[in-house]
Parts: sequence; C-alpha cells; structure tokens
Amino acid sequence: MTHPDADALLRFVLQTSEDSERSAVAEHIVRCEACARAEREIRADVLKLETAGDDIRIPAPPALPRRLHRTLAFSRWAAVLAAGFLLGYVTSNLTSALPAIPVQQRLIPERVTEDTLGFMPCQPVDAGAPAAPR
Amino acid sequence: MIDDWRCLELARTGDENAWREIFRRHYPALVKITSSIAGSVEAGHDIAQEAFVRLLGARINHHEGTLKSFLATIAYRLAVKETHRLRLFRRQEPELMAEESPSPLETLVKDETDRLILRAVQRLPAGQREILTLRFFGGCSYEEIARTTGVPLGTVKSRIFYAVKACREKLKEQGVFA
Repeated sequence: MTHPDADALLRFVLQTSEDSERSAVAEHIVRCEACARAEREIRADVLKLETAGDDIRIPAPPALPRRLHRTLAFSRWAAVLAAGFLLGYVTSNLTSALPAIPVQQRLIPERVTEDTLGFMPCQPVDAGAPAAPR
Repeated sequence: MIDDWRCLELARTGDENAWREIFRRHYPALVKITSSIAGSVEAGHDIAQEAFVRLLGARINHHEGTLKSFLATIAYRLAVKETHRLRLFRRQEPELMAEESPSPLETLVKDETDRLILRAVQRLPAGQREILTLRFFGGCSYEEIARTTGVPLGTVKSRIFYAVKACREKLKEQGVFA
C-alpha cells in the first residue's frame, strides 16, 4: 500500500488536488489510520490559520446613514409622482396630436344617398348665377 | 441565528441591531485582510469600515456567494486601491522585514499563538499572502479569488498550497504547530 505524501494530503485538505488524486487519497485515508491522523493534523493546522486573530477587539460599526432610509422612502414617492406626471403628459400630448374634426363632418355623411322613398335630396341652387353652357 | 443576507436587508431598512450583528460577525476577518494588504493596522481599520459602508449601497447578486466573501472582495479591492493611491504598496517580502519587528497583523491580537501565526502569514510573499487572506479570512472560493485578483485559477490553487506549506513549516519550527 502506497501512502500519499504530506503534499498530497495538504492538497487534499485544501481541495486543490486533481480529481484522480483526490479520490485516491479519500479512499486511502478510510483504510489507513496513520494517514487519516496526518490528514486530521493538517486540517487542524489549517483551522488555526483560518481563525487566528478572530478575537480582536471590535470597534463600533460605522453609523447607519439616516438618509439611507429617508432616501429610499423619498425615492418611492418621487417615482410615483414622476409616473403620474409622465402619464398626464403622454395622454395630453396624444389627445392634442389628433386633428380636430369639424362638427359638420361628424354629423353630415360625406356621400348623399337616396332616402327610403327614393328621392334624392335637393341641392341648393343659386338663381342669380348664369346658366351653365350646354 | 438570522442569515447574513437577511441581516443586510434589515440593516438597509435602518435596523441598527442587524447592522451591528453583521459588523460583529465579519469585522475581524475583514480587518485581517485589509491590514495585511495595506501594511498598517490603522489603514486596515479605516478600509474595513469603508467596506462596510460600501456594502450598504452595493448591488448584490445573492447567488454569487456568501456575504462574507462578498465583503472580503470589496475590502480587498479597496485595500489595493488605497495602498496604490497612498503609495504604501511597499512589498514587504520576508527578507526585507526585520524578524523582530511586529507585523501589522500580529499587532491586532494579544494571544501569543495567534500572533505567531499572523506573523507567519504576514511574512509570506505578497501574492501568496493576498490569496491566503482572501481564502482563509475572507472565506472566498478559489473561483472568487481568481475573479477578484485576476490571477488564473491554477495559480491561485498553487499559491495557496505553497503559502500554507510555508506557514506550517515555519510554525512547526517555532513549536506552534505539532
């Protein structure tokens, strides 16, 4: 049985080994107590490195900016107002952009058709006007 | 315990307790990252606080990772930018630092073991140190580190390996690690 060397165990603990090496070490330390102990020692050392100085004196945190909350509330209201203004502006522009329709055009049909009795409506005639040449 | 993201939502609506809770959970990790990169504890504290302020206004995609790693990337970027701006980015390579002088990281803590561990971290080459702090203190995934630092994923993995290996060897010599 070949034992993984210290470097291979360190790579295993640090999770930097290649897949094949990792699986070989993982299988090995299950069966080999000496290597399992060595692996645990490395793990403990790494943990000491990670936690060294974690008990340092912690100063007071920087004050939460009061305006942060106010800014958020203000921005919500500002967004609602802006949306309202935008909606108003767009609708007023849309209605003013449509051409005005004269009342006559809306009430009088363009094409004059026969009425239900078959009579054509009379056209106004200017009696003083010269007769049209034949 | 309330989830980090929920805490942030509450803080954004003005909940002071939620804000303090986020700060309490993540400040130590953040200040370790920023002090390590900025090279000074004072700058580290300032940048860490600034990172929290930025968090409030940040646009967040919850699926991108944890709040801790998100904060870590904000802090990392701020620290790098700030150190460039102030021309403080003196590369503090191990050979250039006096062995006895306290590093920014170790002045943060009182516990002797932690001091030695953080000194070992601070004396790593800058490239390894940045990646180690983002991974171990910031809880960032390797992919997140690669994205944040612009270093290829394979290089990130090899740097973290060599960084941890070097720290373990140093700390074993000093009797801190068994």
